[in-house]
Amino acid sequence: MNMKGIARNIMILISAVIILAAGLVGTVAYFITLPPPAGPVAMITGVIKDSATNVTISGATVAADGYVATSGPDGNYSLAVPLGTYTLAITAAGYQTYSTTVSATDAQTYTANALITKTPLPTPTFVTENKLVYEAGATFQWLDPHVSYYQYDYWILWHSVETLMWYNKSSATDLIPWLASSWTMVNETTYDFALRQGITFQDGTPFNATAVWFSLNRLFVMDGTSGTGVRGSQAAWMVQQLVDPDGDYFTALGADPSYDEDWVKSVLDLNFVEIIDNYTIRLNLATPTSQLLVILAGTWAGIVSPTETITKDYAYHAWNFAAEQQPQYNLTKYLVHMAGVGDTYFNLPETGWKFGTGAYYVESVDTSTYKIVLKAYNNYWGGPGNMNLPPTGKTRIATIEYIYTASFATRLLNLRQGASTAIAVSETDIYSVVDRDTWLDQGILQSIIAGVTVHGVVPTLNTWWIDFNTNVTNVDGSYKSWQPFSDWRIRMAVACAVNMTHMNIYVNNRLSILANNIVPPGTFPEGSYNPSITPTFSFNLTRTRELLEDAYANPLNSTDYDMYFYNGTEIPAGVVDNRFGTAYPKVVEIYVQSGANTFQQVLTTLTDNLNLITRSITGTRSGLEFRVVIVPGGQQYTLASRHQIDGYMGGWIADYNHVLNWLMPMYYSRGTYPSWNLWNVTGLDDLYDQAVAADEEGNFTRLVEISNQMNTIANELVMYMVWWHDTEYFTRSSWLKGWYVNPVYGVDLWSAMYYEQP
Amino acid sequence: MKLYEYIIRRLILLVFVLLAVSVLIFYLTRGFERGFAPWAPYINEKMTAEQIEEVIKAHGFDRPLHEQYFYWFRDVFNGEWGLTGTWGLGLPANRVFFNRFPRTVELAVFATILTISIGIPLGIISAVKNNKLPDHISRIIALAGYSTPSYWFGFLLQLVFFYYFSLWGLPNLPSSGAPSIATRITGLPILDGLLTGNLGFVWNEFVHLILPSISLSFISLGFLARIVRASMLEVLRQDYITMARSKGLRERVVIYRHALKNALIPAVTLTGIFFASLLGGAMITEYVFSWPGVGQAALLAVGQGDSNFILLYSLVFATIIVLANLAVDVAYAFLDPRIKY
Repeated sequence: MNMKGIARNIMILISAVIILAAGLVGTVAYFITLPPPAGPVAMITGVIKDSATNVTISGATVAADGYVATSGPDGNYSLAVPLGTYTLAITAAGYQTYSTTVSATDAQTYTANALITKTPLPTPTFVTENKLVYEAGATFQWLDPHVSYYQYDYWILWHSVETLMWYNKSSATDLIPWLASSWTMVNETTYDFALRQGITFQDGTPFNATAVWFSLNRLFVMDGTSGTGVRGSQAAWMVQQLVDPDGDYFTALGADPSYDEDWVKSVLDLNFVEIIDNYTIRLNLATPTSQLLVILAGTWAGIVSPTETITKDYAYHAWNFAAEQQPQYNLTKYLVHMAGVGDTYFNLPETGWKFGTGAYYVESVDTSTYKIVLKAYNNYWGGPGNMNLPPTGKTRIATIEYIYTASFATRLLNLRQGASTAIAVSETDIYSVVDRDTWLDQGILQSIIAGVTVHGVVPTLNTWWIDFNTNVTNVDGSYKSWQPFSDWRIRMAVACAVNMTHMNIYVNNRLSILANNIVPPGTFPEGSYNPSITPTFSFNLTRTRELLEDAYANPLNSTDYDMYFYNGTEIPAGVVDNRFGTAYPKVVEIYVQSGANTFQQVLTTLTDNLNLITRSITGTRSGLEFRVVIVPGGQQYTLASRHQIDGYMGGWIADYNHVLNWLMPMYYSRGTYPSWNLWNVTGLDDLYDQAVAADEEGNFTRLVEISNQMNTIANELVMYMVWWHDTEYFTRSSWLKGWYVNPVYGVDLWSAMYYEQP
Repeated sequence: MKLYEYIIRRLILLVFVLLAVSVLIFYLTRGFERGFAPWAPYINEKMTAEQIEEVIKAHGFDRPLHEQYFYWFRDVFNGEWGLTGTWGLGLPANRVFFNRFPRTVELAVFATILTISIGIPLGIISAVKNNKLPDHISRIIALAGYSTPSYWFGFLLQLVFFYYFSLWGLPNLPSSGAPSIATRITGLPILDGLLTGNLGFVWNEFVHLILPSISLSFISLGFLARIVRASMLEVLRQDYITMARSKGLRERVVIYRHALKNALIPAVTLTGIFFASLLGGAMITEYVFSWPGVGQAALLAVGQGDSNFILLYSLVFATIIVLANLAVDVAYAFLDPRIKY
């Protein structure tokens, strides 16, 4: 026999051995789990529960000398055994083995319940190092509180920079004085704030009235300029609107500032912050508003140390510190430098900062790995009643690391291994961390990873919808003759064409609250969120067909109907011609951002439903076709702002928690944003003006009433096909205790948390 | 033509290649307003229509395309490559690129070292033990290497060497990321760590490099092994090898001194191109391992349609590829005296 023959025979032999071994293992396994005995039997039954939580445990194995049973969904098991005495061994994944002896000497049922205890988890490194590691697939943008306008940045800032007002722990509407100790309304445009004493910034500078004056004026003179120099595009407008309702000073409000010394002086002359004494300031508003306190509670109104700010910014910009700032700091000279400048050291503080009063200071920022390290500030005052610290006797987490890990699979592995404390999990990955059935059936986020808790869900202050453009223009700015969404029938047909309840459960994994109107839960003042104002549409394909048939048979046009441009002038005859069908093939494009997978799926179902109907109506594929167009977010915003697209997936995240921040952008034709879809409803404009008046009077009942009226009108018009309000959930190590979140922040606050064995 | 003349001619050609590449990429990234708006990375959802127009104007995106190109060209000559989008924190594109490039160089060097040190011996063994067990094993490794998706293999490495090793109580490797650079001298993190005596950093950087390097080299070492095997088999059949053997030389001397040098020519080409392509950044591997190189950056930039960064990235990459080809051609001249230019 040659070598090849030997090798072949060896291979055959190895295969035979493997097959035999597998058979042997199977046989042994079969006989170990003995079948019920033929003679007299006893039944051993019981329920298996968690000793700490008393929750029943399914899938636990009960073994008694070769007889094996498994606990069912209710934790019950049942085991038939020959008469005798048995030692039951109960095992379940993640639990310690539980043993008990049962004397089953008669042919009857014996009960052996078991409370089993979880196997203590090994202590992760982050606990021994008292460090919190958070991993996300997103990155920060700019960390200067007076520049940033981005949720992820706010998360870092909430831990580091504090404001005069803040929220009472988890309440979205209970505003409390924070760096202020109290406030009083002197008259409807004047508020006095007493400041807390004995607080020092992380750099050692005392917190006082000068710091407040400096910080809020710094926000003003930088004028919402972004880190890349786009003026008026960031968050500053929120505070600016309090002093500049006519838009005379600040870019976002309509002015074109010169950003020179005179302009800075004129801004300072607005006298928004008036120093009464070292620990008292007065805020002078241009018009009365109830929005003041919520606006002051935003990170943009963060109070920073003048010393640290000036020192670092002078060094960063290589300005002549010695000549200008010695022997005494000259705050105004610094502000003149900063006029209209959004490029500050604090946007990307690679060697850290200590300019806040908050629980943590920034130790380092790595612009290539996107890693941010925060360190506990030892002299932190703790917030009112030490609210922002762990309970007495518990140790605050010393270090927080924000890490960018692009791949979710890697993040999940890091969480499982104990390399990270917390990770971001997108809604499409949710079932990698929670049990699907428990969530969908019972609404409980039950973690499927040992040692991990999934907190939530928490509603957030945002809403998503399809935005219907009523004045679509061509690329050259001319008015399009095909204006599908200026026809109520087509808007309504689209809105009735998809089952949103079904979509929220099976596409969106039930991770949102279906929206009835634009205003989300938790909006200030109480009552603004009113789910009883329901849409006039609901899933009904018959209605969609009827509406489209009518629109097909009697197309809207500006010859036979009175139609108006956005500016209120009448559209001439012959301009709008909404005929569609074989002879007039038309397309309706609905834009959606790339990466918004859930939205894309829902829109695809929506357009599929619509196209099936339009094909049967027009008898052709191209008679009227609805299309989903996927583009980068920035591109969608641009095209929407130029009114070049028929419809798009729109969304709004509240800038600050006040109903006016919803009514203005959504319904007010003279406001900043509705110019995107060019709705111009006189009735809504009038109501908005009344809402502002009610707010100025502090008449919240009236404000809520008007908000309700506006939402009702919008629903009747089908201005938007409102979809849902987002919720948040948080995948965290179970070692992390004292967990809390506030819907306004949309993120959890780690300064009050600590580690403890779960 | 002398070798140096050849090199000069190729370098002059490089200028034209880069010009052509820049025109092509410029048109592809900025030429389609509705398909792929170049200003998208600078816009956020809270901007008003006026602010959006201001951004477009500030970046010159409202000008005709040919004008935009010449403005871009002028700025590039002044060292201004434009700003990145939010992914790059709004920093200048060249700063982002050259901050990250050393990390990609490190990864490329390590992966290439691994590829050469495993791929070439594997190829030699395959050739010498042609159609025997070592050849079969080598073939399986090679086949597995180039047929395994890199993101999957990367994840597998993380699962075994990070997750299971730590579960089994064994020393494990980090799954992802890279340590923050303490001091910058040359820009190459490991070299800077050595120069500053920061051995802790050097070790940390090194252990973070191991898994991505293995992941990258696994794809190419298979190719390399098969190329070396094929050319070795061809060389081993040459008369001068038979001659060498008939002289009574030891097999080791025949293979390593006489056969290998000639068999290595195609391997040099492959390694050169492979190294050059790695310098362009291994997008998927850098994504899986969160390695902060230019590949990861390019992926982020493409996701946002960031034309400034893509232009810079493409031009540098084109330069590298052209130079690598040139280096390979020059290397031929040294490896094979018969080759003249």
